[in-house]
Amino acid sequence: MNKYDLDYFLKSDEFVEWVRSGESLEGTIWENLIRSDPNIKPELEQARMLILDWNQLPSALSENRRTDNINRIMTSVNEREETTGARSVFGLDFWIKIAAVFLFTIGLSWYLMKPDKADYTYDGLTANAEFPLTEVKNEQAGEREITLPDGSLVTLSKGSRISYASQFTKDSTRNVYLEGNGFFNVVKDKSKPFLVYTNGLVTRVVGTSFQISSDRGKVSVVVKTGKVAVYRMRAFRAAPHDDLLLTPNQEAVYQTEQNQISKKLAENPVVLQGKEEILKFNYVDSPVPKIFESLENAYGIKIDYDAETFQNCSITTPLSEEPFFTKLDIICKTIQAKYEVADNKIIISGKGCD
Amino acid sequence: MTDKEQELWKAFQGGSKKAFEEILEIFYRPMFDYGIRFQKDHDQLSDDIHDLFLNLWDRRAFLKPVENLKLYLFSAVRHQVLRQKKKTSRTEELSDEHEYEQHQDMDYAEIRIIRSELTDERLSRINAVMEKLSRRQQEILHLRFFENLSNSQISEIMNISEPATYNLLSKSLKVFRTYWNLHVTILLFIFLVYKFMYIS
Repeated sequence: MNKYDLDYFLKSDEFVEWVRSGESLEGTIWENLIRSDPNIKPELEQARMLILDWNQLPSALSENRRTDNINRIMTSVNEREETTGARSVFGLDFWIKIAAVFLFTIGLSWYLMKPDKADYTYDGLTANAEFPLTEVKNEQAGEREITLPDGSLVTLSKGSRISYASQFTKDSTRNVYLEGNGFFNVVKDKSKPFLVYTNGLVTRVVGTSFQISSDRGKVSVVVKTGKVAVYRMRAFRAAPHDDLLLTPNQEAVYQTEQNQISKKLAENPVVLQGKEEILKFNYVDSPVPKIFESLENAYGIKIDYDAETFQNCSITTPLSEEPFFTKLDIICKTIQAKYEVADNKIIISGKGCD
Repeated sequence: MTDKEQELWKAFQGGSKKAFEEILEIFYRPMFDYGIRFQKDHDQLSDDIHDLFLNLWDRRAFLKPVENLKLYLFSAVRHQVLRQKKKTSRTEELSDEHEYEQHQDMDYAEIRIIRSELTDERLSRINAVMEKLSRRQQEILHLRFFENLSNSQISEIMNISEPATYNLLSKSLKVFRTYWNLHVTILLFIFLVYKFMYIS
């Protein structure tokens, strides 16, 4: 039974993404697949057509019916408003209730807001900063690279901005305020921690590189090299040691409203700096435990598997430039296993090979 | 959620009928096409969506903040339709294992497919095969391939875990593939028979 049949392709997120991207077959793993077995091509083509056609399925709703239905809803809404309007607009009762709720809400928010008047947004923090700050905003179409006073580099995305003290020497820490997205390459200085403030989250490093992406609702920190600590500004006052430590290929996501940080594997793990050679070896009949080991070392991600179960498994597919999870996909499909991402590691399960 | 959608939602919560109507204009059709996957009765579905929007209007000031308007509205449709079904039906809902749509017999409409334009033919084929799947299976394929939603978004709407979503997708695609291949074979057969009858 051919395993590369229609539903194999339709199930694969990577395949669907590739089809929708409209990019050519050249250089993709799909081209390799066809080369390895030309019989796969018709199924692949069918799947591709299906994905493209599906978006064009005609609607079950006629334009007339749609307009009618919408009008019916708006009519009902208008009727609602007329009846309640007559009742409430002129009733004193109603307005007294509204006033009571209003006052209560005011009182409650005053009470809740009292102990903690700090404003952790970009504007709030920069306005209250101790030392005069320099601000840089990226208004050009692409990314913009900025060099900070200590030699650290920040690559700002379009529309983002940062502020920092004109001279880092005055303070005991190197403070940077970020709004938007930036990739940081920080010069090592153990005596002066480097801190990035974004929307209620602080990222602290000594000398490493990492990406911070933020919008109003959340902040995401992905580590490329070195170690990074993140903690919440609000909790910091209550418990100074609220740090969450991140290592390369780990990502922390901070939700501004809930004031919660969660840690997970980066969505697209990259080979660690200096470990590129680990993955370059001859894959002919390579035992799978050895491959898992190499992947662990190359990506710094723990892979859990039962060595006994998989000891007889081997693969001959060369793995080179594919993304980390695609490599796992390929390995697992070959040995009929599946993987699960749990906490910050990968768990492999399967029956093994005979 | 786009900025425009966020503005509209806020305005609607503030009581703007115009914003409310604008939301209807944008989302009514997608919601209907999604709902039809599991509520085949057009009239009942129209009623359900009508009730749902009236409900939203009534509670507009008290709704929780919405992160993604489309997912929110889709979840709402699903919820409303299922609730309505429970009310009107006394018999237990069949589980996926036993839920079979009546097999559409090959009728003359399908023979007409052979003659119509190529794209229409392909689209009709997708629909014809979809009709053979269970409602849940149709639902997940619609969300993935027509609405282009991710696994996590689908699991949010259908209110199941992500692994369960993946399993349902996997199973639905397997069934789809089986009927698709079968359909192609039967279609070819009919085509040949038709050709044969025409010649003789």
